[in-house]
Amino acid sequence: MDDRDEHLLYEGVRRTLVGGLVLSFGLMGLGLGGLLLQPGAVADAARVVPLARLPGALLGLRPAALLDLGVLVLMGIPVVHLGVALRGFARRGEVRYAGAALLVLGLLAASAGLAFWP
Amino acid sequence: MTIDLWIIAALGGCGFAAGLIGALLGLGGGIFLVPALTLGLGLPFGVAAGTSLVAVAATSAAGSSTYVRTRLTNIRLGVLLGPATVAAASGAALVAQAIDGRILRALFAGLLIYTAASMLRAGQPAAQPAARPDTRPAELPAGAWQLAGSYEDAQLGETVRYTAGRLPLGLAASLLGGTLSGLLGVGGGIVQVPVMHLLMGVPLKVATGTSSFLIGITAAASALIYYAHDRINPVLAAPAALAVLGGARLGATLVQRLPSGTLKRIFAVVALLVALQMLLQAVDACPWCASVPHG
Repeated sequence: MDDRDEHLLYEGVRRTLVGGLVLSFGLMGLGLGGLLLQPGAVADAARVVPLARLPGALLGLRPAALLDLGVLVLMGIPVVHLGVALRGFARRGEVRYAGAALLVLGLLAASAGLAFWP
Repeated sequence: MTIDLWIIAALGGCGFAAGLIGALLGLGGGIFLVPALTLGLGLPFGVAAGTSLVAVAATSAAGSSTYVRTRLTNIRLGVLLGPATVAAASGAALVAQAIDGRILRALFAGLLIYTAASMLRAGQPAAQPAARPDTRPAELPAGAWQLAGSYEDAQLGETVRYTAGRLPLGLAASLLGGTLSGLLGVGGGIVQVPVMHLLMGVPLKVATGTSSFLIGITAAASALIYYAHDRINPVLAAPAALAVLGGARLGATLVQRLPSGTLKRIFAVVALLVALQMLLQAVDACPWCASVPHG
């Protein structure tokens, strides 16, 4: 991999980390702000919103849903930066690393599948 | 447990201290946050571990963004070790949902004792590295699974080139690190960093940066399982993550100015006391501990 490609790989991963963190903390901050405005909702927010009910709760602007979405975005950061790395490795024909990145993504998907399997 | 603003503020203080001390000692925040949540706030161990994982993931993402920029994260090495740590973390997190909290407390106490012993060893004068900004890795025998890398060392003022080898040892450490993360809600760097540095020939700074990158992936895999089992308290996780991150930032700034040997000895004593309390709680023999569910 030449220096420019290497730079693009590292910069892509770095941007994903920073962007994901900003988005996640922004959502969690909004959720906490909402709890300050609605102290009665604190007990509701102390447990996670089941995934199936999350979209509805978000549309209802429930602080608990914003907090949960922030947590889920944080969990999703590795998926995106591994995807960025996978694309970089694949473009350069670095099969070993592309395969390893794909395997990690597959394991994360399996983990999510096991976690949320009804 | 009733959560009010005072508890959130107290948690913010604990999280900040966890991040600060963790950064000063080169550890993640989980090793401090889990005891604070379980012993201090009386959360069941599973919820404390799940909530801690959110803070661990946030600290990892923030740290990695810096390490990746300075090339102190070796992305290729991280990706190669990733499958082992993710598989172990996911499996261990699933197992943790079925294990009695007393067993997990006892395991956590064991981890604290191991960490305290590591700190005491590192704090001894004979174990201090010579006055070099980074220790150079040993030459490794040639092998098929070697991975070259380099980074600009600002303190040395030169490009440091290295070759990482002995990948099977790294995979074994990743399995163990992932298992600890999934079971106990910590990052697992306490295992991965020494193995990468001492056995794989990776410079300490790169081992730390690559471990931070891996911890984020590991924590995400574990935390998903805890989330699905309702073992994360989002009201506590969000301020804890913010506070740990703030503390870690300050710690990274202060680390060059404070005497690390003294800090390590203080930490070791505190960790041993916390381990003792966790062991007593594990066997229901802690008269001064709040009565909390074990799950």
